[in-house]
This record gives sequence, C-alpha cells and structure tokens, in this order.
Amino acid sequence: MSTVQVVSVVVLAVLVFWGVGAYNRLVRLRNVIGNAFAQIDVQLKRRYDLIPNLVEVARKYAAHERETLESVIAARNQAKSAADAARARPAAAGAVTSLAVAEQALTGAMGRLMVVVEAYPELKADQNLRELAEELTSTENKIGFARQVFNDATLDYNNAAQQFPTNLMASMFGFREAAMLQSTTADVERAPVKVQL
Amino acid sequence: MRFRQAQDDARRATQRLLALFVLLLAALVVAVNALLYGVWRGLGWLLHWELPLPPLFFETNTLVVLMFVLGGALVELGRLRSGGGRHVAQWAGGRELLDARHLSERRLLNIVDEMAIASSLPRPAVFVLDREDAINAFAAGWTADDAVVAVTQGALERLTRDELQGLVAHEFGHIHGDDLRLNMQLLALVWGLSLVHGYGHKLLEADEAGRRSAFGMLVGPVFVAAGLLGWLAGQLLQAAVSRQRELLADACAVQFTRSREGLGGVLRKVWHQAGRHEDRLVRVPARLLAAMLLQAPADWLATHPPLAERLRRLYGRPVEPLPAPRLAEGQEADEPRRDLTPVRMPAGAMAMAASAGVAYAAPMPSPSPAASPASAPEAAIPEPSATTEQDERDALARLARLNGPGELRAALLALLLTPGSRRERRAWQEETSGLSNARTVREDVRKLGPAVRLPWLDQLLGRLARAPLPDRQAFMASARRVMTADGQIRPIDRLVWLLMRQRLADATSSPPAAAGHHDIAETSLHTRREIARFTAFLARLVPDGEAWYVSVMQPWLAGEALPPCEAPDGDGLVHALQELQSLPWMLRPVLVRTWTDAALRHKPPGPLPNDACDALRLAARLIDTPLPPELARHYVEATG
Repeated sequence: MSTVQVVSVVVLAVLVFWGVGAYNRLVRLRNVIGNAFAQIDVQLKRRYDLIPNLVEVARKYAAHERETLESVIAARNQAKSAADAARARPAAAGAVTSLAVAEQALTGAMGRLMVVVEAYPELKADQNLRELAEELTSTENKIGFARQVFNDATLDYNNAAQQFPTNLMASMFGFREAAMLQSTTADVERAPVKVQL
Repeated sequence: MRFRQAQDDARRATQRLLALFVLLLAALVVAVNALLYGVWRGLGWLLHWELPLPPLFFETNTLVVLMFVLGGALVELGRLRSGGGRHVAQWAGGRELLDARHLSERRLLNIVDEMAIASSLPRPAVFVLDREDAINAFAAGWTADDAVVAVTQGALERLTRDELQGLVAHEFGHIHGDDLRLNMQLLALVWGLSLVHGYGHKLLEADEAGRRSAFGMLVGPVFVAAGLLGWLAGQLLQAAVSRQRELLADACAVQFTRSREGLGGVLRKVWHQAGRHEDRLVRVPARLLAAMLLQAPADWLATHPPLAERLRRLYGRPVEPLPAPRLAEGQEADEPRRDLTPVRMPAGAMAMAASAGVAYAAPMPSPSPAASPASAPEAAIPEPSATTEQDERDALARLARLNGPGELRAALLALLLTPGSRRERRAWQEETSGLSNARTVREDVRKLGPAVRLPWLDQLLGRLARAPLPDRQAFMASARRVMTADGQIRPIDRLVWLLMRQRLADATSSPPAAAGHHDIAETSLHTRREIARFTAFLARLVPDGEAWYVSVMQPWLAGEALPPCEAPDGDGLVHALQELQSLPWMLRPVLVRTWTDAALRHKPPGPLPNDACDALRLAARLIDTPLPPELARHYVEATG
C-alpha cells in the first residue's frame, strides 16, 4: 500500500467518524427538543381539558356572558388542533408558528373571561372555580417553564446545525432549523393569563 | 440580578474555598510534623543528648493525621448518608404531602411540579412542617433522586403564590447545585478535623491506673493545638462555603423563575419576621440543619449571608423588609376578602385546623339577635327534666365506661345538642347511625344535670384529644353539622365550639406572655378594647348583661370612651379571644375573677343562672385559668 493510500484511508476514516458523531449529536439535540415539546404538550393538553370545566363553572353564574364564554371555547378548539399538528412534526417551523398564533388568541379570550369573572363576586368565590383557577395558573406556569427549556434546547440545536462544518451534515440529512416559541422571557408572555382571584 | 454571572461568581468562590480546604489539610500535616520535630529537638537539647530522628518519623506523623481526618470523615459520611432526605424531614417534624387536602397544599404541590420542570430535575418528595409559623424551608437528601423539600406552615400561610415559588426555587437551587452532598461532605471533613484535636486530648489523659505516659505529655499538646486550629479553620471554611452556596441557590432561583420578585418578597418577609423575633423554628433543630435552611441564625459561623446582603445582590440596591401577615386562602397581595379571612387561632389550633380545613372561612353562621336563649323559640322549650339524682349517677357510671371511639363520639355530639331541637337531633342520629347503642348514650347524656355537663364535656374532649388527627378532624366536621343543623348557633355553643377547637388541636407551647403589667388597666388600649369585645359577647349570657358589661369594663377604660356593648361576630370573637390568651398569666385570673364578682352582684336573687355559669366556665377554660371558688361550686368535676 502506498503512502497516498494510507493517508486517504486515514482521512476517510476520520471523516466517517466525524460524520457519524455529528449526525448523532444532531439527532440527540433534536430529541431534546422533542422531549421539551412533549413537556409543553402534556401541559397544553391539560390546559385544554381545564378550560371547558372553567367555562362550565362560569356559565352557572354568568350565563348571559355567552359571547365571551363561546369565544373562549372556540379559541381553545383552534389551539388544540394547532397543537395536534405541531405534535406530529415538532421540529417543523410552520406548525410551531401557527400554534403560537392560536395560543395568543386563546390567551386573549382567557383574559376576557377573567375580566368577566371579576364582575361576578359569587363566581369569584366559588370553591370549584378557585381550585380550577389554581390548576390553570399552575398549568400556565408549567407551560412557561417548559417553553424556557424548549427554547434553550432549540438554541443548542440551531447553533449546532448552522455552524460550520456541521451545517454540511445538517443540510445533507435534512436537519432543518427549529423554530423557537416566541419571547418566553418577556414578563408579558411568561404570565399570559393572570388567574388570580 | 444577572444570574448567570452571579452563579459563576459563587461557583468560583466555592472552588477557591475548597482549594483552601486542601491547603488547610496540608497545613495541618506540616504543622503537626514541624511541632513534633521541634519537640523532639527540644527534648534532645534539654537532655544534652544528640537524638537521631526515629525511622519513618515524618511518614508516621503524616499518616496519623491523614488517617484521623480522612478516615473519620469517611465514617461520619457513611452515618450522614444513611439518614436520607425523608428521614431528615420526618425527624424535623415534617408531614409528607402525598395528596393535597387543602387549596394551599395543592398550590405547594403544583409549585414543586413547576420548579421540577423549570430546573429539569426529578420531582422531590414534599413535606410540610405543620407547627412552624416562621417562614422557612429546607431541602435534604444525598442526590437529586432522593431529595426532599420541606416548607413551614408559616410559609404556606404568609407567602403569595409567586413568593412561595421563589422559596421553592431556592431549595431547587440547592438540589441543582448538589449542595446537600457538598454540605454533608464538608460536615464530615470538619468532624474528621475535630478528631485530631480529640486524639490530642486522649493522649493527655491519665490511663486507668492514673498514670500519664511521658510520650502522651510530650505529643498530646501538639495534637491538641494543631487539631483545635484546624478544626476552627475548618468550621470557618465550611460556613464560608455554605454562604456561597446560598448565593448560588438565590441565583438559581432567579434563573428558574426568571423573576427576582418572588424570592425577594420571601427574603423581605423573613427579614421582617427576624426583626420581630418571629423567625424562630419551634421543632426544627435550626443549628443542625442550618446549612440547608432558607435562612438561619446569624453569628460568626453564619451559614447564610445577612439578608440585607442577599437582597442587595438580588435587587442591585438596598430594599426594605416587608410585613408578613397571614394571607387568606388563595389571596394575593392586599386584596382583603372578608368572607375568606382565616380565623387566627393559636399556632397549634392553626396547625390542626389548617389541615382539617376548619380554620378557613368563619364556618358558623352568625347568630341573629333573635337566637339568644331567652327569645329563641326552640331553646325556650325545656327538656323534660324528669331525671332524678339516681338516674344521673347511673348515667355517669355508664358514661365513665364508654367503650371505643364510636361511643365517645356519640356522647360528645349528644352533649352539643340544643335541648329540644328536633333538627339537631336528626343530624345527630345520622352522624351516629352506625352505632347500635347510640340511643342509650343519648339518653344517658340527656340525664346529666347542668352541674356535670361541662365537666364531662371537658373530660370526654380530653379523651378524644388523644385520638389520631384524622379522627379529631372527622369529629369536628360532625360537630359542626350537628350544631348548625337547625340553622342557628346559640352564643354558648360558639364558646363550646371554640373550646373544642382548642382542646382537639395538637398541643402547642403557648406564646410567651409579656410580663410587666400588674393591672388590666395598664395594658394597651387595644388589649382593653378586645377584652371589652369578649366581655360584650359574654354579656348576652350573663343576667342583666348591659349593666354587667359596664361595671366590668368601666374601671379598666377610665378616661376612654366605653365601646357600646355589642357582641362581636365570629371573627371578632376569635380575635378578641386571641388577645385574651396572650395576656400575661397573672392577669388572666384577674379577668375571670372580675367577671364572676360582677355577675354575682348583678344576678337576681338566688343562684347564678346556668347559662351564665357555663359561659364564665367556658371563658375561663379558653384562657386556661382556674375557676374562682364561687364558680367552681356550681360544678361537679368529672373523675376517671
């Protein structure tokens, strides 16, 4: 075997090793994102379950606020289907973006519902409502914290996928850029619905 | 606070201190060697004798020191580890929170879940320190997997949701930084250092025959001195490490919650409590757990940086302490909600009540003025009083033999029945439906005359107080049902209710009463006003109540406007009672004495009416004061 052959075999081996390592690293980082999203997902589902209960309790005391109550339900259904889409492909930028939009609409509707609650003292004092509100607050917080983790993981993944030379591997095997959830560190976003009674 | 930088700073400081620990150990070895070498040479000089160093002189010294320090540390570490987080929490009086019975407990569990997500750590076991009114918390455990977080009841009651989150986040910071393990390792190392000192002492001591070896006398002082210095330095270093870890945990709390307001609020409230000496932990051995607590007593070996310093780092500017009142369930900030204000009870009652769910929301409807005994139609119907003394004696004998918790419960509930109220009786029947001889028990109780009813209530409550907490809680729920079945509460029932709550709560140390007053007239105006409120409540049960009230209160409120004789509502009564309970022990009998004397002056001819006697007896029991003889004469105390 000539020196050239030896050198080329060595170079090839190094390249293969590096390639396998880089590929595995990207896969691992993508899985971290998937895992972080699963965390959010669990809590989102839980929130989608809680909201109809809350609306039911509110309906008992504030039946003629139908418009607000129904807009909450509509926004909740919208967000739920967006979450279903994102669940199928967590690293796809489009699905996550549309989920973010739907979530924003839901947040707005919930905010209006809370304004309604303020206007009905008996509703506000209802034990069921208070318990649901605590659960909802906690769920909102968990979503917020899980988003924090999700964004950290996304940052790591995007950094890895865009830096040279890993970006060659990324483009070759279709590791696309992952979208971050919007502005989780801003206070406004962190506490979307202040369910405090 | 720039938490990443703060974390890096704290981590670097820890590294430096740990390096100092290694240096300390090296210095100890060098010091022992140098001193022993000096002793050896000095000996040779004194004896004018050229002593060669024994073989392996330095090696042996070094080995002995290292064996004591490292070997001792290893042994101690094994001991510390064997405990485990759960063990520590139970030892400190914690109750594991598996399922929430209460909104505030649910909130704590939720917050712990939230922090587990934010910190990407496994969820630790959660404990509540029921009897601690100070705001504090600790984390314990060797690894993140067997970690526990324990929070005081005071923290649950006095912190808003965000603040509780900050508190829990701080403890998660400790778990995240592996501080628990580090702390135990350092504790073990300090213990190992203390062994060197102990070894020196051992050498100096005489043996069993009373002889001291020359070797011991020469070498002992070296180990005593070097060991002592090493031990002290070790303690100082350990405390310094602990302070750095606190700062690190603070920074981690900010990282997890992305907010400094939560933890900031906690620290400000703790500061306020510390300023009023309300930050003492009752059962938690603060010294031993110091390094794990949120905040611990400050001294030269302080394990925590001063609160002002921690807050300054948190906010980047000096801040003020924040008062920490009890918050109503689910209440945030200053949003007073009358109907949900917790009824403030003595700490012990609170501890029980909070878990039983009876402390929150005034549970009893306010009695309407029409419900006073004289005019209430139901209360006016006299119970058939065809009981003879013989009947009563037989009934008492049977009650003394009450068998099992079911009968005890039935008898106590029967004592609470308003005579002649059919609805209450029906509620009682439902509550005791499982008991075959319930009817006999009620008949026996009905036969009791006024002189023995309250003594027997006391006696039976004393027995029930020994039952496990869930039984007592269940009893309180049943009692409430029976007492409120007819939709009205007699004033006397309200006192009975308070007494039951007090007796059935877990035993507590009563708050130390401030001495210094020898007369009620010298106490603060606030205290006297509360006395007036409580007295006004009793006035509804004492004959010629208004006049009685005036003659009791007038001398104590000389020069002040006498508050009108208006009975307080449920909360007001409890607050007034609390004020009375915190009177110095010398003044409480004076109060009962005055009530009794005035009542005797205002009564119509004949003996004091039963309701008045009962009210005064209950009041005396509530403030833990013996009955004056005139009053005690009305009762036959229960025995056995």
